[in-house]
Amino acid sequence: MTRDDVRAAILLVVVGVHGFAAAPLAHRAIRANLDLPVARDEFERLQALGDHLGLHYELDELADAAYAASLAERDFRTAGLAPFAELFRLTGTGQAWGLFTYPDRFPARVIVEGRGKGGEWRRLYASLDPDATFDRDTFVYRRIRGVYDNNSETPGATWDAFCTFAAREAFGAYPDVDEVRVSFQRIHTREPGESEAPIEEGERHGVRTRWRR
Amino acid sequence: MNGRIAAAWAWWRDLWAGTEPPHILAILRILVSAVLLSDLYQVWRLHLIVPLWGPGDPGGFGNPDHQENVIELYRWFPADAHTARHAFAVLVVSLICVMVGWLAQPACLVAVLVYAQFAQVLPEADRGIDMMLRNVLLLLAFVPTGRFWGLDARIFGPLDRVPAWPRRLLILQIAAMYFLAGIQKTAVAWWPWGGYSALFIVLQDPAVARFPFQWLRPYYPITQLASAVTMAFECVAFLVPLVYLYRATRTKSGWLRAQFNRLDILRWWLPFGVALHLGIAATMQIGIFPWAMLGLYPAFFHPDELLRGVRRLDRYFGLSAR
Repeated sequence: MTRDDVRAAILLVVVGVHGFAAAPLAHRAIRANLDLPVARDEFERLQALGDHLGLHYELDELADAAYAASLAERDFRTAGLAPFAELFRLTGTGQAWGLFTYPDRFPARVIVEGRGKGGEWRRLYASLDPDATFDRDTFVYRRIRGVYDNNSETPGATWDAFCTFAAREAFGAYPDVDEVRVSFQRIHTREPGESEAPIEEGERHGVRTRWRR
Repeated sequence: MNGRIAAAWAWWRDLWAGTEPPHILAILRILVSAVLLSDLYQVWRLHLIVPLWGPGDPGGFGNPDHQENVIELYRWFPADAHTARHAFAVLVVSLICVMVGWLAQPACLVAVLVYAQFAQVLPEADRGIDMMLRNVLLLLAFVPTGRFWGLDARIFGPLDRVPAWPRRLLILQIAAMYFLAGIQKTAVAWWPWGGYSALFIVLQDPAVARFPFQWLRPYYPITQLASAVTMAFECVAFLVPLVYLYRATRTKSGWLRAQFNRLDILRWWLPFGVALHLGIAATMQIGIFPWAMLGLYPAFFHPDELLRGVRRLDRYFGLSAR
């Protein structure tokens, strides 16, 4: 066996394992995620498409089918990659690719507001608001955006820590601010033909308030 | 049967054999580390080392020291802000070593391992492009690229040939990334039956858009066209490795090979890829993604093509005559 044979054998394993890791199989299966607005909207569009073809499915039927398929895919993928999972973890390598796989018609705008004792709330930062640009470089930085964007549907473990961080930054920059409120504002993007207004601004969620100590 | 297997094996072995001048891999080494260092500079400038990668008590978002499986960084070293800062410094120094080609191979490995620890501290802050850069750094750990345009050349002696397989594997990796990103776009908005509305919707997302794009409404058909072309670009990426394969065997017969060599889709696919990433950089604020991807594009060129291009520029501008 030559050196070329050994290299070819190793690369066969590498390409095979990474090829399997790259296969378009679900990495996760979370039933609750299929009830989120972005998923329901997608199912509604699929339902309409099915109706055109004479196939009618209820939204929950579609969600259940998607969940069952994702579950099977996830288990298959996890089992197949199990021998290499530790290597992938230690090197942080892998093949999970997706860029705007599901364009979000219901994105959220992060808003940071502050006020002095008994005063009116004033907007310090809001995504794309030219009048509220406090610490903009930090909030638009890709890794920070990843943290809050990941919490925009259902605020999770990192959301509280992020809000504390945002409040600390605001208290440092505004000595007159004693109370900081961080929240998401739901937005509904509509295509031309669906509505006159491209964007409808909705209710707040994930509201967290921090006080100066 | 054995003959066929032997022939297939010989084909596979020859696919990865051979050497080439080191210029392209050296360029990749410099560009990848430069892009990543620019990103880490943002982390340092914005005082985000501890929030992003520190433990929970001093203000880290990830709370990595209280997870079920504590990662090595906070198992082997104290779970405090100093450890986060020291790990950050190790990552920065290793990437500088990669860039200047000083002990470049071990530096690539160190960078990958520390970078991967950070990915585990706070997965939300680790994007697909970070994984891509780790893939590339790990690949570069197997090639002595520091011995060309690097300080390793002074220590270990210069190299004029390096193995060709890492660049070929990288072409496969990039093509796979695009193709998979394409076929995983199963949302109806990316398809004709969804009206190709995807890019219009993405550009209305305040977390992603660089500017308010509400004025795009009258230009909706342009965004539809851009969505369709993006999908086409990504979905044909699986043809890219075939282009190289057929190019390398152009003297052999076969209709498909002849068509691939005649059409040479890379002539339009690569410029479109450059335009796509420049478009992303101009309209969206998603950080280093477009620049890191563009930094990998030299991999699509054989070093001889690069040298031919440089000679052509030299003749055109008469640089050597000055």
